[in-house]
Amino acid sequence: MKSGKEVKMKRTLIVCLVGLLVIPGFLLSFTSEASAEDYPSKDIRLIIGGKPGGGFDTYARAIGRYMKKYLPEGVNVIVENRPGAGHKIAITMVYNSEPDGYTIGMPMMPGLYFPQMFEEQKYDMTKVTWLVTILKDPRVLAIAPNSKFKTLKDLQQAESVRVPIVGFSSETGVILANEELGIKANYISGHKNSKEAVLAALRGDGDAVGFTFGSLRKFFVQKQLIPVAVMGSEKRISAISEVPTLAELGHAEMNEILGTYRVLAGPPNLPAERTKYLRDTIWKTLSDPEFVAWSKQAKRPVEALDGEATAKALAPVMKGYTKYKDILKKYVK
Amino acid sequence: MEIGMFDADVFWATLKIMLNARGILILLAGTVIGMIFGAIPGLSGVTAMVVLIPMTFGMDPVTAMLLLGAAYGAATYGGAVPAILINTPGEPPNAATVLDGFPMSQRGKSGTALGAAATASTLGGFIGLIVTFCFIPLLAKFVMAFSYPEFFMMTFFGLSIIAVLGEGTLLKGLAAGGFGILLSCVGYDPMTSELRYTFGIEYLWDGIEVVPALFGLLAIGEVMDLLVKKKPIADLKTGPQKGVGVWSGVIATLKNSFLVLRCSGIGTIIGAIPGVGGTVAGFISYMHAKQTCRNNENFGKGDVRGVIASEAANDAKEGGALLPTLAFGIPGSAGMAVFLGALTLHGIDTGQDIFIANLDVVYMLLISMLGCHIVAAIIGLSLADKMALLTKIRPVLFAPILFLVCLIGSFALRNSVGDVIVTLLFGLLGYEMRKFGFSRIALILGLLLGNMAEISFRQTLMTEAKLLGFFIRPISLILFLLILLSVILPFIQSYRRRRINEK
Repeated sequence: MKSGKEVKMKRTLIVCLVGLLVIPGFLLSFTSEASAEDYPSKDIRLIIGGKPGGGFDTYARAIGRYMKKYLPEGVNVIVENRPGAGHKIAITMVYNSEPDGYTIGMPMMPGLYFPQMFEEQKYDMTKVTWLVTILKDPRVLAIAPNSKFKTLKDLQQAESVRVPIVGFSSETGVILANEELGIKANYISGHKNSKEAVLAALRGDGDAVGFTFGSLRKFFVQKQLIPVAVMGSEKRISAISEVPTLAELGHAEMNEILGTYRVLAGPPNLPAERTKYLRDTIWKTLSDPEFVAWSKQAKRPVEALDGEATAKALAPVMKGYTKYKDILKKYVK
Repeated sequence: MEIGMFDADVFWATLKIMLNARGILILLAGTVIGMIFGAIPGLSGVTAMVVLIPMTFGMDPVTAMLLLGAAYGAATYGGAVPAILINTPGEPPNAATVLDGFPMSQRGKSGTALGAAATASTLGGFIGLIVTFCFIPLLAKFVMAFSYPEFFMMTFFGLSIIAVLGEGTLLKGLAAGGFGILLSCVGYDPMTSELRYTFGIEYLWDGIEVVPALFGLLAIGEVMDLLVKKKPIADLKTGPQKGVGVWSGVIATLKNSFLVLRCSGIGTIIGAIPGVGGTVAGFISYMHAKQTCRNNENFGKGDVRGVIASEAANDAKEGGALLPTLAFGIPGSAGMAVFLGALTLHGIDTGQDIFIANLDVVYMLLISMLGCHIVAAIIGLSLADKMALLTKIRPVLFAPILFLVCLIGSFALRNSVGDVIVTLLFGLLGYEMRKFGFSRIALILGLLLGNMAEISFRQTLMTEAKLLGFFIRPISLILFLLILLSVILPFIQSYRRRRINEK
């Protein structure tokens, strides 16, 4: 039997609860008023799907830091980490936000396009407003130094090559490249991030890894990994100039789509003048001498493409992937 | 230069940056901010750093490291405070501290527990950092011997603590733990990215977030209990009135210095292995303490050694986590990832050549983390008696505030209302579990470690050796035997005790 007091306590608790849910909602309804004239008049949210400390986070925070210079007094760029679901949570938030120019994102491209090839998503990457490409980062296929394989040919002739990966949708490019090159890969998924997958290869749990050049550069400098093929770049990478591109190896068509793009984007239907304002301000930020100095020193390279060029570059990439839908179907669920 | 070689000149030069008015002030500020972030449920050392990073833009990288290192190092101690006082770990790694810390508070011994936690954290933090720095090359080799089977065995070790928790019956403990593991399966399949058990609810894509669940199970459950019982947390009638001050905790820790040393060792090694994560460190070392200490029947009911073991390991693991960060450029914990990110923002390349180009930054990280432990201990010890008063407040006043703090905390985590709902639902679950004698910690263990255990188990099956991989690798086999031993040992002990009693 419940005592009267206990029931009363529970009732008080429920009242408190309801109050807690209602009051913040009430307050929030007053805060989102945007006036068209003086944009931007409040902070701009930059929502990213990467965790604090990662590549997405570093680029986003650096841009936020230097972009402040070109924004009106009192307007900041607030970086919000919303990791999870392979960047889907972050892009869903940006995609469905009010197109007022106060919410922008840094979607993972082309990784976020794959899920929508197979299933309807709460976003459509072909419809977002592209603001800028910060960097087109090619992928590199690399062999672990203590693997029994030493060259690309070894990999192609092997019965089975162990490849540690993070997940099948984030490493779609590598899967396609392996299929194209005829490498019989045995993928070991479930690593938390690219660095853990590389570590798995370094300690002998994998023969080869394929990630962006940006994330593998350190390991090439230290001679911890041996690069064997560059994917998604028209020309060779100067730091590892001895390594041929996929196009040189005779796979030009696929080479075109395999690069990864570090981009900034807003929701669809962003008003033209705000799109222009954001594109211009971000462009100024990326060419700011202090930002350029940072990028050089921190070895976080920038090769910018403006918003229109980004849209032009990404459309054929997304289209190109649909050609390989059947191969991808085996892996991406 | 070989990695890990000590350069005394650079070290002294770096130390001098800290040892002046400005340096000390920054250290103090960092430590206080870190402690506050650690102590507030929902905020953590990582959040403290993320908030502080923009403030470091005006500083040089070495000074920035001083501020960030202090804030991060101090947060792990801060996290023990709510674990002891209100049954809610400030961060998941402090979860094992709840096991004995809160029962101590209930007996009016929170002063002792806080004192012990402060001392054990400081010692553990010191040992972890020094051991790591002295043995970087050696540890790096050792860590490379850990692969998927070993990762699985480590998490399995953590899970096996369910068998010795001692709250409720063993069967109920296993049921709760199993339920926790089931809950950990919700969301994306970590291997194939298929959705599991999400029932079309978008929030569940990423699974059930551990921290809000933890708040619900432990804190909200406690709030409801406080309101129903109408007694403050500390039951002064049954608890001892003397010898409960903070110094009794310090003395207790120093008396158990060998235990501190062992648990710090466990914490350092677990922290150094990337992929396992520090959460198991506290639990494994707690289990180790329970099984190796004499007169262990009070573990789980308020034995100070439980607090010491968990906190020493918990702070030592951060020292260990520096190892993969420094030796391979791979962050060993979420906090280390933010460190590296912050360094990059300051224009420092975080590859291995950081040892050559920016040795002062590495040393500053070491110095600030050592320094903040001293400051945190002083602050912690001088405030512990005051903080202990929290447990004596009447529930009608205390419970609503605690309730609010937990809900705000779980919202603050990711600005997600879904997290708040999880907290509330798990609050109800926690209350009922407590009433029917199911261990809530067992459920949390399952939820925390289930995912990691699943990934490493399936990764092992993906290797050539398949299932055999668990038994043909020496470290994995040894860990497996240790787990068997630690699960069986309590039964043998109790059987023998019964035999003796019968005679």
